[in-house]
Amino acid sequence: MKSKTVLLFLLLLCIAFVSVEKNTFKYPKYFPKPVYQFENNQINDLKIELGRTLFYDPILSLDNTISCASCHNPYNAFAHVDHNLSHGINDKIGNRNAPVLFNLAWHKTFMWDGAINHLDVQALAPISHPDEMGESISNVLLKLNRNQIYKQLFYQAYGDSLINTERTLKSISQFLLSLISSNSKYDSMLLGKIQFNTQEQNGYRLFKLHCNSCHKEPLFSTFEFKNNGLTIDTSLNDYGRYRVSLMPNDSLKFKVPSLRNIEFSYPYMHDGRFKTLAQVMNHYNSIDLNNKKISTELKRNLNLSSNEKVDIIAFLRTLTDKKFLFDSKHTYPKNK
Amino acid sequence: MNVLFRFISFISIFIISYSFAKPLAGVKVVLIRPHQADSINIDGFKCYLSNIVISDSNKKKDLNPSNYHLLDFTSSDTATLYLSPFANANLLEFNLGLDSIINTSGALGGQLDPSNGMYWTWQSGYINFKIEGKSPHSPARNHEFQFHAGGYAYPYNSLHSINLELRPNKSFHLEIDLALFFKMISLRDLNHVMSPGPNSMKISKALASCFKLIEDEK
Repeated sequence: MKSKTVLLFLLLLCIAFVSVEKNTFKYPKYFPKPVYQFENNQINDLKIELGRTLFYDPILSLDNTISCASCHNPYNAFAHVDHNLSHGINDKIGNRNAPVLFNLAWHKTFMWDGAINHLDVQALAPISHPDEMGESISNVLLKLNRNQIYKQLFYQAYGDSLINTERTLKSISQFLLSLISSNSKYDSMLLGKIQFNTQEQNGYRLFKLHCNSCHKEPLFSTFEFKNNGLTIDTSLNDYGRYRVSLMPNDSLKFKVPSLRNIEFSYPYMHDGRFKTLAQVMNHYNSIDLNNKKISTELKRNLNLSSNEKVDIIAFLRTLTDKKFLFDSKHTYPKNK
Repeated sequence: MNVLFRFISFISIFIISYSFAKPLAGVKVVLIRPHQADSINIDGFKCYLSNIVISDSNKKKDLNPSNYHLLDFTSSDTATLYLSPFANANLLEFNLGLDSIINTSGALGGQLDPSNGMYWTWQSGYINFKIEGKSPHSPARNHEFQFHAGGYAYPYNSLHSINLELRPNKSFHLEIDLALFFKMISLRDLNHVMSPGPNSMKISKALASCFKLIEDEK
């Protein structure tokens, strides 16, 4: 009897250790400390899987046609390939380019203007936006509560089948947090596993000279708001951060995006106005120095030659993480 | 083994019920509507009160257990605020709205659940109060007015702290005087507030001055 109890105790201890091992948030040593507070939403594989199911399910939209994945495609680092502006129900067009989704645990704010202050409430914005999912969280909860598959998934993840706002949103966060991109050629170079070729090496040198103050390594962004000199698109009249802060100085400032996987996340900028990296390079190489509102980092002539621009783009391609882009854990869930 | 288990559960139930045994006193909150002559019709009024503290003349304070209260006057002109009873209390302090910590804590449940309709989805943050209705004074479509006030970040923090003195050992109720609110806000000039900013601050300041403590007549 006693030996059986001891055995049972040891078995439980092993299970405890295995689950701790399985459920920790892993990231490379050279990444900074995450911003996301995991103690309020501890990583758990079943919750990630539930979040993944929600992410790919159009049940979140008013007419059950649009899912998160409609504008966030895994093969494009969760951006919306070939679409400059996001799409919504009834073929409605939004007013911004869908951003990439990875390494979100390091973001202080979300959206191009930082209107969202916490990953856990991010999903409320596209769910409620009339040009995106056009739905309300209370109606999403009604639909999920009527669905036997979700009753079961919530039961597995949380120990009972209660489906509420907090659990739904935190599960989506769990899936988003699991999207870590840190297996690019650049990462292998940092770890000393491979070496850059001459062109990439030169591109990296130029990058550190001209781009790194805003697109800071190793996440390739400071996630701050900057005016990068783009003229306003009068069909959108999007003043960026100004809408949130109401500070005149924030007019036309947008959040600096990460450059990881940039090769696959075209079109570029908050309104998707550039289709190629060459166009982006040309923009930064021809900044209007008379523009007083432009961020201080850009107030100088880069004078890049065409070879130099090509070298920088060659370096940017080393930020492509094929393992991330084609990871089967990130794609449409099997249980659907 | 079984007996031991039953004993433990009995003890824990006893401890749990004891710790929750402290009774709460219900304080009535009454909504005072604008006078009929003002022709202002209120369709809905909801507000968050938070960080409720009761103290006595020795500055002894009692922080109330559940510190976020969503008061909803949609279907009734009275609501109840549950506070812990406090002997010789002479000061009631609370916030109209929710503080920046709550506003930046992500997805919360219960009274703070975003599905209560008191949360902005396009820009993170709680709506501290909503006043909606109709009046011929409003030049807006269908003579409607819609006040959604909030904002937790500098310089547009619209949270207001309210201190109300009370006489010890007297029973009282709270009044929210919307007749007074509409004396301060001209519907002709301001009839829609839907985001944080100067207007949100203006209507928050006005509503904060409409809370009154009324002693109950015996």
